[in-house]
Amino acid sequence: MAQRNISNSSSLPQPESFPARSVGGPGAGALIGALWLALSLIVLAIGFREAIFVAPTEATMGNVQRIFYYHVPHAIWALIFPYLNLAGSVAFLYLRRRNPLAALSADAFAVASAEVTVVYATVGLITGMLWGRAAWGIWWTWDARLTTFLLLWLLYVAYLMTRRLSSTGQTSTLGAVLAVFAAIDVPIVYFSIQWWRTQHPSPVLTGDGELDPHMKVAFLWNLLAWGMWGIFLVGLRYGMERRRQRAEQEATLRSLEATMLDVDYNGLNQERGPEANNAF
Amino acid sequence: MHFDGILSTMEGRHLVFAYVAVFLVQGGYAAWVGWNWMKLRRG
Repeated sequence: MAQRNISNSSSLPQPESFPARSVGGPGAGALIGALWLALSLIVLAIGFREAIFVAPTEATMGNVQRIFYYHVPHAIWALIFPYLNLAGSVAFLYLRRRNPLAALSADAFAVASAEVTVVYATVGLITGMLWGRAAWGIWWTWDARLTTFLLLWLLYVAYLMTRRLSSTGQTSTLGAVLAVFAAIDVPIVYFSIQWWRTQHPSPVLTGDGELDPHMKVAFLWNLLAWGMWGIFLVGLRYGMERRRQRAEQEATLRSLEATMLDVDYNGLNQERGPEANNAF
Repeated sequence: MHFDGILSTMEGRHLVFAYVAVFLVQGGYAAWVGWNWMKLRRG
C-alpha cells in the first residue's frame, strides 16, 4: 500500500503573496537594511559628539540642558511614527476583505510602527522626567503637554496589548480601529502648549525663542540621527513580523493538509469496511 | 564639556542617566527584535 508522508511540505500549496523562498537569505532588503543601519550609527555618533562635546553649555541650566538634544528628537518622532501606524491600520481595514494577503503586510507595518512609537515615547517620558527633576525640582506635573503625552504612550501600549490577546484576524481589526482613535491624540499633544497654560517650554523650531546656532546644529543632527534609527527599527520589526506571519501561514497549511489527509484516510477505511484496518 | 566630578551634582547625574537610559531602551528594543528574528530564522 502506498504510504503518504504528511510531514512532507513540498506538496503544500503556496499562496501568491507568500512565495516559497528561503527565510533569512541575504537579499537586497538585507543589504539596504545593513547600509541604512551603518549610516544611522554614523549619524548617531555625530549627533552624540555634537550634543556632548561641541554644543555650548547653557547659561542658566548648565549641562543638564544637554538632555534636550535627545529628549526633543525622541518626542518629535514619537508624534510622527503614530501616523505610520495610522496609515498601516487604515490600509489594513480597507484591504482585509478585498485582499487579505496584502492586508497582512499593512498589519505588520502597523504593529512595527506602534512598537517604535512606544519606544520613542518611553524615552521621551524618561528623559523629560530626568530633566524636569533637575530644572523644575519635580519629576512630574499634571500639565497639559505631559498628561496628553502620557496618554499617547498609554494608548499605544493598549493597542499592543489588545493585539496580544489573540492572533486571530478579529484582534487585528480591533487594534486597527483603536489605532485610528489613538492617532487623534497626536495633534492634541502638539497643540496642548497653545491651547492650555502649561509649564512645558515652547516648541524649539516654531516657538518664540531663538536657539543658539551651535545648539541648533546639535539638535538637527540628533533629530536626523534618531529619525534614521527609528526608520531602521520599523523596517527590522516589519521584517520580523512578516517572517512570523509566513511561519504561521505555513504551520496552518501543514495542519490543514494533515487534517485533510486524516479525513481522506478515515473516509477510505469506512468505504472499505472493517477488514481494511487489518491490512495495517 | 568637562567630565570631572560629573556624578557629584544632580544635574550631572541626571544627564548621565538620561543618555544611558536612551541607549538602554533603544538598544534593548533593537536586541529584542534581533533575537526574535534569529529565533524565527532557526524555527
